[in-house]
Amino acid sequence: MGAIIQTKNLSFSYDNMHTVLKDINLEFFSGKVYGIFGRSGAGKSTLLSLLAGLETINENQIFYKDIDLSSLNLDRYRSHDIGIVFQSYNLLPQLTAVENVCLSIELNNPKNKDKIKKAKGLLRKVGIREELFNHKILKLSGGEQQRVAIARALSYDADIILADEPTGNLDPETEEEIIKLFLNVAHKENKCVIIISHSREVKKHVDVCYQLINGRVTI
Amino acid sequence: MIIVKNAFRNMIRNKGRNLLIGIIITIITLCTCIALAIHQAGSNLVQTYKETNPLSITFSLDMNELRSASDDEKNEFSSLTVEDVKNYGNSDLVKDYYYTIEASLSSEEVDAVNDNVRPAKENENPPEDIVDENNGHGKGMGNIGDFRITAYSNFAYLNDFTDGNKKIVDGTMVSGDSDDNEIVISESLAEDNDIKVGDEVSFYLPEDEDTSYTFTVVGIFEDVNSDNTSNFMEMNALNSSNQIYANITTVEQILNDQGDDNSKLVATNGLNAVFYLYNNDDLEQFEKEVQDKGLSTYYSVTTNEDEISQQLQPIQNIVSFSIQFLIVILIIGVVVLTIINFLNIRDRKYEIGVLRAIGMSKLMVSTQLILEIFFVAFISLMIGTTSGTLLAQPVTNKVLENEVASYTESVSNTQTNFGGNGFSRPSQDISGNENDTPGNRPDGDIPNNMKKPTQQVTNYVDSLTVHISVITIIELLDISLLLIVGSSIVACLFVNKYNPNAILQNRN
Repeated sequence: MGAIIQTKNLSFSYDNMHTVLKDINLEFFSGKVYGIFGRSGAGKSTLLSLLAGLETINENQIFYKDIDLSSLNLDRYRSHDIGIVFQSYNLLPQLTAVENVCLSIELNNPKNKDKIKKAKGLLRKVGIREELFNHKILKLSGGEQQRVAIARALSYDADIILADEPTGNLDPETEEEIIKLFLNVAHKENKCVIIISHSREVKKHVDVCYQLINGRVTI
Repeated sequence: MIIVKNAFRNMIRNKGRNLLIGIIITIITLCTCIALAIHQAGSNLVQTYKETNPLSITFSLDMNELRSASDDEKNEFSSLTVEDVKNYGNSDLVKDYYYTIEASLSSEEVDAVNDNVRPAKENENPPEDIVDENNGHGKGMGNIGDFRITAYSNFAYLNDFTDGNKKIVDGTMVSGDSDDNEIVISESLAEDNDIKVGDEVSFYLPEDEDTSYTFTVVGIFEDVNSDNTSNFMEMNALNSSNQIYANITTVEQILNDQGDDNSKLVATNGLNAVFYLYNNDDLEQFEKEVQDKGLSTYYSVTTNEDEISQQLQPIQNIVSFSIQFLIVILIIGVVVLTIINFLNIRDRKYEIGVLRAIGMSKLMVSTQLILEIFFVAFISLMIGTTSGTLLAQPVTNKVLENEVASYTESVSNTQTNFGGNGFSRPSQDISGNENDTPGNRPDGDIPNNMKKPTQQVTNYVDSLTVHISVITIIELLDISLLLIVGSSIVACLFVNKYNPNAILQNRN
């Protein structure tokens, strides 16, 4: 079975002067959890943005199911094929926890009638207490917001889950639960989970570990 | 559906910002509504007024040109006759026409009404500078008696009666041509001479005392505006109390009896015709037609277009002002809403970034933002239209009142500047009497600019009924939609420019 997403000689620079990523060749498969580690400024988040289609890329550098990502409708790609957990959560502050998750479900499938039920189920799964479901995002703690962001990323059966420091604000106990959740998603639901992290705990549990040093990847 | 729901939810949750936008749109809508209502009502009024007050066309004789003409040319000159008028009136272009004929009479047994202290009767020796040696009347004015006798081919055009300035208080108005030698006189004249309906009174030609006429008084009219009557230049004939009405046959007989060397000119002064066309645009064609039918080149075709324009001036000013006001409001509206939208988009950059990052397309984000403003605008539109409906009439009344007052003051100032003599340009002096054109004055041959100020009545259109019609609402909706979409487009251009990752990274 081929890689669900792969990079071919992926290089990237923001200002055409300073190269952030150099000749990255990676393959990611369904059913596995990948960890990308590296120092701050190594290009981890840039790699995630590129894989998420949030940055403009050149042709023939990233392939999703063997299709050049630059040729895809990236809006649809982001709302159907990948779920993203941002380092700073990027939730909508005017919405409640449930509404944030529901919005992603609706974008994926506007006719989904069970969206609220599904959203609440996911929030429970990531450890959000019932009484917080209808709280506005800004009334939740950093850890709770992070879990809502994870619930949102898991809300529409995306093939790939991209998570940027998903356990950064969590206590060790919750961190372990979240890691278990990602492992379950990858192993039981056959999803590809790519985690960018500094956490040793994450490093211990991931199936494949990549190290980014000065824009280059080492295994 | 998702964007409609999100837009509605955002509208409710961002109360402060949307309230501000709502207030601005409400004010714009209110002003636009009033301006549109005034413009539409004013335009309709102008159109209706022009339709119900068609141009009255008259023929004016250029006396100066005629006097300076050679003897041969004078001999060739053919003055306007009743037959000519009837001939011109039979044109396919003419909707209706009428003519008046008028003669001057004197009387031994009837004393003319004289409102002035100065003597006017022939035996009371008026000052030498204003009498001539023949008959004691105005110097250089020819043989003018104390009374004017006027006939209308159609009394429906006797404006003094149709407008209510005069009304029969006893007896009836003279009727058809069969009722010869019947007259209607003023109440003042009747009272001063103890004349009653049914009495017979005698008059004679001012230039020939032997030619006399005996008339039966069939009606007495009251001059409602009798305060305005006076003996201008000490000529009793110009006092409206000395006005006598008779039928065409009666006055024609008097004019025929006046036949002498000056008969043409006398007849010219005595005959006035007014034509109304089906279509005012046919004026040139009508002019050509009457010239082809033999109207002398010494006559020119004149209309009361200036008069109608003058009467409509306040309304037309308001209509024009409403358009200018509308344009200014719309420009301000577009600028203010664009700025608010722009600031709104800037404030919500993060939200836009998140929506784009989770897969909402640029089109959906833009549509959602426009929908939000549209919801606010819809509510504001309702409030603005309702308020506009309530306020349009009072605002119009106030503006029109100021406009008419401004015009009245302007005319009054002009008269004051001339020492109260009321000299004014023709366009400033509108009597409302359509016969009041040179060579066409049943009330005496007084040019307008020689009348006393009290005789000058400008019938400005001073009321405008405004209501919000379906057309106004449709126009309002179009403008609002244009305003909202126009102001949102700039904002949406920014949405399309934004890179979601850049927004989120900057935020981080």
